[in-house]
Amino acid sequence: MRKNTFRDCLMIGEIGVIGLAEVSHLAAVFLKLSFTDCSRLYAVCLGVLAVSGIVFLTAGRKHIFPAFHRERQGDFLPGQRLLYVIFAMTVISQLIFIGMGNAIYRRGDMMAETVESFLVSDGIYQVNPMTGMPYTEGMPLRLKILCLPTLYASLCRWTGIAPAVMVQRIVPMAVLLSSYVSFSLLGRALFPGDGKKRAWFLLGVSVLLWVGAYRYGMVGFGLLCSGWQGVAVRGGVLVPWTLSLCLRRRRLGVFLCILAEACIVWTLYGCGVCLAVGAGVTVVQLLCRKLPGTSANGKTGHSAERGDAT
Amino acid sequence: MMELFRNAGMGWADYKSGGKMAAFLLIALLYLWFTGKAKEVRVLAVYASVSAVCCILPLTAVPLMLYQTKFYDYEWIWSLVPLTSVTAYGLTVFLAEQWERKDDGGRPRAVAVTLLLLLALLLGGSLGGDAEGRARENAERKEAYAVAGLLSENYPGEEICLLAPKSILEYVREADGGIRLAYGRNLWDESLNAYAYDTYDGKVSDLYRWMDWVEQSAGVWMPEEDKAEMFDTLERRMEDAAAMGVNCILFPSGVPGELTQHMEAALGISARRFGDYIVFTLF
Repeated sequence: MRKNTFRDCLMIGEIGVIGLAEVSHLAAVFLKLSFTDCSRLYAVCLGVLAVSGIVFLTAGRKHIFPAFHRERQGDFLPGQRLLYVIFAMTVISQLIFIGMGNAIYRRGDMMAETVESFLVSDGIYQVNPMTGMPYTEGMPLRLKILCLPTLYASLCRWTGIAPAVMVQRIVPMAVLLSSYVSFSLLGRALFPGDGKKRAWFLLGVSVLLWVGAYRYGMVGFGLLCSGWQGVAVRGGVLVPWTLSLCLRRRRLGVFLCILAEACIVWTLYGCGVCLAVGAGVTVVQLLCRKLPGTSANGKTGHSAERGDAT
Repeated sequence: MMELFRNAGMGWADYKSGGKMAAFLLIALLYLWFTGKAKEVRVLAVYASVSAVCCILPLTAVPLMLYQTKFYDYEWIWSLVPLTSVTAYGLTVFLAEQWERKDDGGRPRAVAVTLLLLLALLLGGSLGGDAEGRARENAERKEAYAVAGLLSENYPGEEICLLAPKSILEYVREADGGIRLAYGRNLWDESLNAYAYDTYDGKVSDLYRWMDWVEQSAGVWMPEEDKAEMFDTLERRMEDAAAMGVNCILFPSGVPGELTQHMEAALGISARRFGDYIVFTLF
């Protein structure tokens, strides 16, 4: 934890938000709590997380914030500032695109209806979100324990924002921004000590997200057209961070990503993409280490670690 | 198992059509490997290459599809491939090199290369996409939200169970969770049926087909046999609807006057004009 950057802490906090939503959601499902009680429990948990986070950041400020400040105030190479300005404009255009809601993709997804059902029935899966009628045969347990509907419904309850607006506009914006935090961490792992290339990398990612918005299943499409879905969070936020963690040899963080994915996506008994990516990259790292002349592992090993501190 | 192999084979063919992100990944990987720049990120390059090959070949794609559970389609196995990350890495290395070069035209050349690359990338996607389809969907959504608002406004406190055209039912539950439906959009979007064990019986399907005829009757033309059957089965469909708890029925305002009269006679109530719709309420 000592070498975590501020952005790593943000990602850990985000996973904490998901984890606590899962705890509250499971409590409500298995103890048959009303949604009101569930959202209260979640609020208390989030309060504890916020206090813990502040304490942790205060205690570790010497290790976390100096790097953050250096990064912000450090010398920009010629052109680097311009790259970040173009990148910011691209991100703003994407936020506007999401906010306009002209390309919302909801085929095969019923998140807004589910959140609306939670709020109206004041219960977790008390009625079928598609019809509003009580379930006759029930629903798969693996789906029932996924926590995103509770998270979004709680946000709606606390803010008074309509579920469709929260789910289809506000949450995707937040997920998109989280995604850029995640990709920026990957950029740090790939280009430690080269701020200009990191700026190019982020700009490249932002352009590729636009380009990839053509098809269901693409990261760009998920983030720009259905950013509330668990698969979009996984593809845009968790997987890039998993990669970055693997490249920096931070296995604990990978474990957190695996858990977070199990809470938001229907996986094979928790074995999802983050586990596969983590395992795959680890195997390749082991193989590369055994190959002659490749022990340094390029920029993905200890040099990346050093990059965190620069 | 054979079906899975077929899906894997067809899935790749489908995945690479439409846009060119997969092609961009392969180009980036080829660039990294053939220029020796992959050495700098050997782990990522090897992992991306192996995982991409595994997703392309049906023999390896099938186990991956089984791993991600049968709930998801072929394209989701590509979540394992760091497609955006590696392509962006390739782009970064290539463009940074172009901008660092002092020979061969210097900055103007770098600008030209960057713009050409940007153009190639944007053309590799689907610029604008299906704008017409999106505009239609947005208009339907707006209409459904307006109808849901009107219903809540006009019948406060009533537990509405609605039967309406498909375009209204598509969005009404996300607009107002208090409105119940005889059938929801999982009737025509079958992928939604994976979220519940509940199924619809034949009566619901008949009612759905009947409402489809009603919508057609408000249009320019519909087959005479369908029209005749719509009138013949009206009473039976209304009995089924009432048994399902339906207490509010919306027709497009363009339906034949004869149909409205038949409905009024069958339900024993008067229709009411409701914006672009005719409403029959049983409460």
